[in-house]
Amino acid sequence: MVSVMNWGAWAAATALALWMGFDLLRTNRTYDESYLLSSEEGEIVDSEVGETAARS
Amino acid sequence: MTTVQPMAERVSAPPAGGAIPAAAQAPAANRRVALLRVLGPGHVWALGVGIVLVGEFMGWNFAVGKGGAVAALAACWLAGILYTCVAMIDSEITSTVAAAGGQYAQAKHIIGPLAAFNVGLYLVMAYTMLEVSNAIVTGDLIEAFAQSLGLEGAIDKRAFMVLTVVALAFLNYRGVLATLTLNLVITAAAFAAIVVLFVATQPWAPGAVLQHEALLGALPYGSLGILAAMHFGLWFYLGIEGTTQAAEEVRSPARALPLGTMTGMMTLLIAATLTWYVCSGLMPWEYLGQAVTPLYDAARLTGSRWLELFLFLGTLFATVASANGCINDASRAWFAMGRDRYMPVWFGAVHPTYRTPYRAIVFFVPIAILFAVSTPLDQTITFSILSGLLGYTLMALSIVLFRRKWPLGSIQRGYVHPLHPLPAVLLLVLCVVTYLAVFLGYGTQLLAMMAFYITASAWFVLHRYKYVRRGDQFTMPWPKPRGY
Repeated sequence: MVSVMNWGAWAAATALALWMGFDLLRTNRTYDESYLLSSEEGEIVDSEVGETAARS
Repeated sequence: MTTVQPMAERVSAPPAGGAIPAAAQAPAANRRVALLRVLGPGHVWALGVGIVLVGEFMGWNFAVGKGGAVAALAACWLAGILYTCVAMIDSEITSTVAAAGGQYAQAKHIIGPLAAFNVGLYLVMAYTMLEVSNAIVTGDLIEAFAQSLGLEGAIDKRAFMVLTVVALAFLNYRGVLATLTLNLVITAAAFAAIVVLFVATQPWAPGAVLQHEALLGALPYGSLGILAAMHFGLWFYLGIEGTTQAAEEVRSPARALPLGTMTGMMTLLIAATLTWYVCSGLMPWEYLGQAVTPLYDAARLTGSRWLELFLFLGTLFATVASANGCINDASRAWFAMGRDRYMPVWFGAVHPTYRTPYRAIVFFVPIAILFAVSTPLDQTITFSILSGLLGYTLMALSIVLFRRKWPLGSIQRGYVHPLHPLPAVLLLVLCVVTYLAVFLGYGTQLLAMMAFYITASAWFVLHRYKYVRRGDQFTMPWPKPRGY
């Protein structure tokens, strides 16, 4: 039982880590770097849901 | 404001081995990418209290070992004053500086680049070391639980430490709303466990369950014990300032941040006092001062199996919530520093689908795992406390400069803290007292950390700062400061 738990934990951690690594690489390749880095401090992109009180 | 147009051919090219993500279509419409504004005051509360509440379940009680139960109560309330000052100051500045990075962004706008770099490092170190500590404790808890169930074989604690770090990083990677909604649920459950334990000990009937009259003695080490207890008194509240890291992801920064932070601080003051009251009435200070899981032990002493199970789950939930919040905060601080080129700009990327700082999140996974499997718990916790304390000290300076450069009425504030400059002075005095307490117990670590931050500052000034676009880093639409 404990052995199954141990191996299960290692397997789940490995699977999740691989997924993140794969998605990170795929995202980096799919999008242009300037788009990925286009965020600016304090800006409200989603103006339909954002609130401007703190910026006024 | 300029808009960056990504290269269409790259966006339209399908990635090898996978379909084009739905968000890949978005850039064609001249859109930028930014963190997602979806959080409310409840999530801010869950972020702050979630990071901290584990301190009620373990760690605070070492203050009892330093000076007795009464000294621990004094430290609890003195640290409560310190953190109330932190929460008030934080709320005022952050309701105006609505930027990821929290205190880093505050220091950048108010004090200057070198202070901002240091505050950013303090934040990253404090939260990463706290995350590591929580991962270690989770491994210990699962091992203890397996033993209590009588399972045969040895639990591999490293497997569960690694799983904790990776699974929570995965959750953070996939989106902030799910991450902090989970924190809201499990933090509320952990807080409920403390309240239920308090009620179960019948506080209205002194002597029935709680034995304060017999167990509470005088100060065993005199008033010096109160000073010594201050070091661990911080554990009751360490991390509540993390609420400000959500500044770029809340729907209404000016309202949600002060509301979430101040209600979080109230929650912690109540939880800390209840925790002290229950534990000091059930255990002699000599035992309580060394216990690993004092609230869980208190539940066991009541003789109720249900309470024992509830407090075990509460401890586990609090630990996971803390690690979860720490990953969120460390990645936002690192992301903000990358975006300003204080660190490599590569870390300033936002995931187009999940709208999270995905590179910063992934970057800390191997670092946290490495520390978790190789560093003793007390070292990681001390590193976290000292980094936090350095940040609080600069915060006192920050609010004085903030009010001097931009007096009330010169910019719109979502919250104005009362009695200025009393909270700043109190904060500074209590920080100095705590430095002294830490120096008495961990003087070598304190000096080593100072040396580390001085070396890092020299690296920033002599090497890194030339990469920073100096005019671009001040983003708030404020008037020029008074005397500029």
